[in-house]
Formats: sequence, C-alpha cells, structure tokens
Amino acid sequence: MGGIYGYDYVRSRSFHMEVVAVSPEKPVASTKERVTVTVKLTRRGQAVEGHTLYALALDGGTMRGNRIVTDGDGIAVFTYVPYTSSRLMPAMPVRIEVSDESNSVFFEVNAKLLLTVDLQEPERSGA
Amino acid sequence: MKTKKNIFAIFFAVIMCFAVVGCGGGGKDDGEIELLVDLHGWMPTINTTPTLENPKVIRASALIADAFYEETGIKVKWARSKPVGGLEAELSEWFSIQVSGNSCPAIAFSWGTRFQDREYYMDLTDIVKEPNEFVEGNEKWSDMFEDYLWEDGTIINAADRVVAVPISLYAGTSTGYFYNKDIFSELTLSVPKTFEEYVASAKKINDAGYVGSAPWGYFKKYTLGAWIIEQSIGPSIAYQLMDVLDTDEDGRVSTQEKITAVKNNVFSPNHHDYAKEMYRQAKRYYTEVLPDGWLSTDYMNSWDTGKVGMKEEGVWAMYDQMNQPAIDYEVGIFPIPQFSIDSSEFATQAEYTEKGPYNPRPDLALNIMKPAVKDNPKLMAAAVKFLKYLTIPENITLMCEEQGAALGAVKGSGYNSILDEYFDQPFPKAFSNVSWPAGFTSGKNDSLDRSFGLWVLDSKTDKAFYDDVDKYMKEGAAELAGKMGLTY
Repeated sequence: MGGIYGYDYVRSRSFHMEVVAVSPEKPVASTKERVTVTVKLTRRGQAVEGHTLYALALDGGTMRGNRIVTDGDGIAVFTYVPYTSSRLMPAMPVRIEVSDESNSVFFEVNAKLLLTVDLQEPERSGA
Repeated sequence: MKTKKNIFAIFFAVIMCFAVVGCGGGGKDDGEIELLVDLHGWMPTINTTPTLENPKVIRASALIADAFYEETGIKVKWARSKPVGGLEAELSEWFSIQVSGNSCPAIAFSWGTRFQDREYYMDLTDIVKEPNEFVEGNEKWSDMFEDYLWEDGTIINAADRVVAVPISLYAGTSTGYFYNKDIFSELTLSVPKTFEEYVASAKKINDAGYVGSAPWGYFKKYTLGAWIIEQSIGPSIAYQLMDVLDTDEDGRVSTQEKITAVKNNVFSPNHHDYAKEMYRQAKRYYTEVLPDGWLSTDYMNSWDTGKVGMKEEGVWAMYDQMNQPAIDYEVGIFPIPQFSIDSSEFATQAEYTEKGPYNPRPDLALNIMKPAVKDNPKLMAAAVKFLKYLTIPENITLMCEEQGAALGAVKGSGYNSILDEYFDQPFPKAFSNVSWPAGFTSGKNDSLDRSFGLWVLDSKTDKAFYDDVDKYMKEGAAELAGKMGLTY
C-alpha cells in the first residue's frame, strides 16, 4: 500500500504548475472586480492537456467556476472575484490554491500551486 | 446548636454555588450574557480555510459575532445541533426537543412563520420601529428595509404581527431551473417563460431521449407543495380572485381573509370550475412533465453526464452548482416559469421585468424565540441588539457575498456580482400577495398530499379528491384559526 501511495506521490512531483499571469496584478477588493489567473501545467517540460485543475480561494472571495480543464497548451484560465473590503474584512493578500485533480493513478495525491493575489483597498469618495 | 448552624450555613453556601442559569439562550451567572443563535445554513463552519474535501467555508457570521462581542460584551454561541439540511418535519422535531429541554436558541431560523401556531415567536412589531443604534442616523429600524418585506407571509404572522427580521433575500424567485444549454441548442429550444412553454420543452426533450425535467432531489412524494404549483400555478389562478379575497382592500390576502374564503367555499373544487382547474393543472405537472420512475430516481449522475435538459433547484444552490465537478456542457439558469393564459382561461397573464428580480422574497429571516427569552428581559434585549448589529448594511454584504447566491435584505447592502449574469434576463413579476391555500397545518397538508397523490395515480375519483380538498382545507383552516386567535 505504501508503495502504491509512494508511486502517486512521486508521480505528483513530476507535474509542475506555474502562474503565467494574474490580471490585474493589484486588483481592488470589490465584488465588481474580475481577476484572471492563468496557470500552465507541464510534465517534464511538456504541456499537459486534459487535466482538471481545481482552484480554491483560501482567504475570501469567489472562484467563478472552481474547475477548469487544461487546453492543448496546458493552460487553464480561472476567474477570481474578490470580496468587497469592509471594516471587518479589509483588503489583504489572498491565497489561491490550485490542485491538479487528474495527476494520480491510485491514491489522490495532487500536484499543487499556491499563489497570492494582492488586493487593494478601493478608493473611497470623500465625506 | 452551633454545629447545626454551621452545617446549615455550609449547605446554603453550596446551594448558592450551584445557582441555575436561565434557558438555552444564555445568561451566565458571572453577569456575561451568552446568546445561543441559530443562523441555519449561515452559521460559521468549523473549518476556516477551504480544502479540497471541505471547500465550503463560512466565516462572515463568525467575524460579525466577534466584532459584536468586542462592542457589546455579549457572546454569541452557535446552535450547532440543528439539522440544517433537514426539511420541515426534522426541524419541527428539533425545535420541540430544544424547547422542552430548555435549550432553545434565543435567535433562530424557521422559515419565518412556519411554526406560528406554537407560541414560538416574540412579537417584534414595536421593536422594528425603534432606531437601529448601530446605523448612524437611523431613526426607525424598519426603514432600513423595503416596505413590501413587512407584508410578507414569512415576516408577519396570521395576526399581522411582525415575528421575523429579514436578513437575506432570494436572488429573484426562490427556485428555478438549471438547464443544459447544449440540449437546448440541439433542440432549438428557448428558455421557457410560461408553464405551458415549460411543459412543451420538457416533452420535446423527453422525446429526444433525454430527461426533460428532473424534480428537486428532496421532493420524494406527490405534493401540492411542489414549487411549480405553489409558486406559479396556484398564485396565478388565485390572483384572479383578489376582488373576492381581499375584503379589506389593502392589496394583499391575509391569512384571516384566506380562512374566511375557505369557509365560504371560494377555493372549493366542488363549487368552482377555476378551483377544479387549479388541481387539474397541478396534476399535469406529474402526468405530463415528470418522467416515469421519478420517485425512485436520483438524477445527479444523469445531470452530470449531460442527459437532463432541466433540473429544478433552489436558487440558493446556484453558487454550489457552478462549482460542481467539471462537466463538458454549458449550464444556464432560469427563474420558475409563470402559469399564464396560454395554459388556462383562469390564469393571470404573466408579466416580466426587462431584466433583474422583482420584489425578491426573504430567504434568511430570523425570529427571537419566546421559549428562550420570555422570562429573561436581558436576554431579549441582547437578542434584539444582535439582530440590529447583523443588519448593518456592511455586515449583510459580507454575509451575502460569501454565500454567493443571495441578496441582502437591507437597503444599501450588496451581493456577490457572480449573480449579475443570472440577473441579465427577464424575471417574472411573481405574486407575493396571494396564494392558493393547502391544508394550513402540517397534518392537514400531509393528508391533502396523500389524497392528491392517489388522485394523480387515478386511484381516487375526481369527486372523492374534491371532497378531500374541501374537508382538509376547512379542517386545517379552523385549526389554525383556533391556535392563532382568528375567526373561522
């Protein structure tokens, strides 16, 4: 059993995810904002097509669709919708964790990527 | 003698150390108030960081409760024993147990007025006229909400007293249909706006070898409480009777007016063709729309694999639906279609907004529970304070954005903008001021549903079913009138 798990563990390490782009780079903490997060999945330098990547916003806000399948270039494009900053939840860096749900054979051992989106306080009109 | 006195003194001191604390809502013997609060599906989750296994995290209510404690010294404790996913019967039992066990929450969700016949709810009519001290410049708490909400049957009881405070609203109609855009495109179907168009679409999809329309997963019996009947067919026909029903001409049909109408056979299929028509159309949903074997079928897998054209669902589940396992077709959502004149001469012509919801109804509405606070004015005051704090617009926005598929009930509160795509379509101007009654009480509703089911299956004649409708409706109306101090 341990050997089979070990196989999937080692296999997961052969998949590599990287952030291609976050746009805008410093988005405003507002539900009206849309942040595009482009991720690329490769294995041994080659783009991986057809893998389901699952993104989770760990510190607030919403992924508009958690699951995206990588295309022929290994690309998956996510949309992150920030929360609106408030007294109780001000703008702060938000972590997004992306997991590859398709890289395992026997045991679920996901290749992961953790990125940060640096939310900014919106400009408020003067009183 | 001295020994006896010493023994008595020690005994008395021990008794004082074990002074009993008041019912469930809190009130600790160190002077700190502790509020037991049930926010139903809006209570904070134990996990505070989403994971693959537990992606759904609720933090907003915890943040609000912590800030409330900082400001007021009142501690909020969550009623975690509540079976949040349960239907009416389960929650009814839970509340009964909490009340009899002296552990009733001070604040709770119970679909607004569902258990109004049980002496559960504090009368908040005068309280909502007080200022909300947490909102600068506010002179009357009720002014923070749209007027129509204070006439909603989930906020005011049968005696027209306010017994709930709205916190969030449904994103449009409370229920709707997710639909497979690929199937619609393949069969050149448009989004159905009327019940008749919906029936025709379901038939076309069925004929093409798919499942036309899958019912909500928790509807596992024949019921007049099916959403399409309760929210579409019934109100459309009842609206044509407004002149007869609305005797005080205030623009809405109160429970008293409905009870009086029942006694006068206004809703009787034995007396009126329009009433026969209501039930005939309700039967059509089961005989012409739902597929064979629906009672024992779970359509989840069929939906995920693209074999279902339309799937009935609560709008509150919209955000979760958007984040289901990857499916290889596009999903859309449309509000519940309206029963209109293309189905029946007894219907009201359906009307729609150009886009966006029309007077959305309360989703989360909270009661202050009489069993918890009735002998504890400090606890009552604390409960009122927490509800006022909760309804600060910024706090409502925090909760609704996190939930993802709800609107804030308070003016100036926001919602998650992922709803904007859904709002970019016409919404029905549904009838919130009139409805077609069922049995008025849980027991009579069940009896009526059983009879309806037998009739749908042709195991009961029309006459026998109509007689049951009259009987159960009248018995239920009389029962509710007795409990609520109304006239039958």
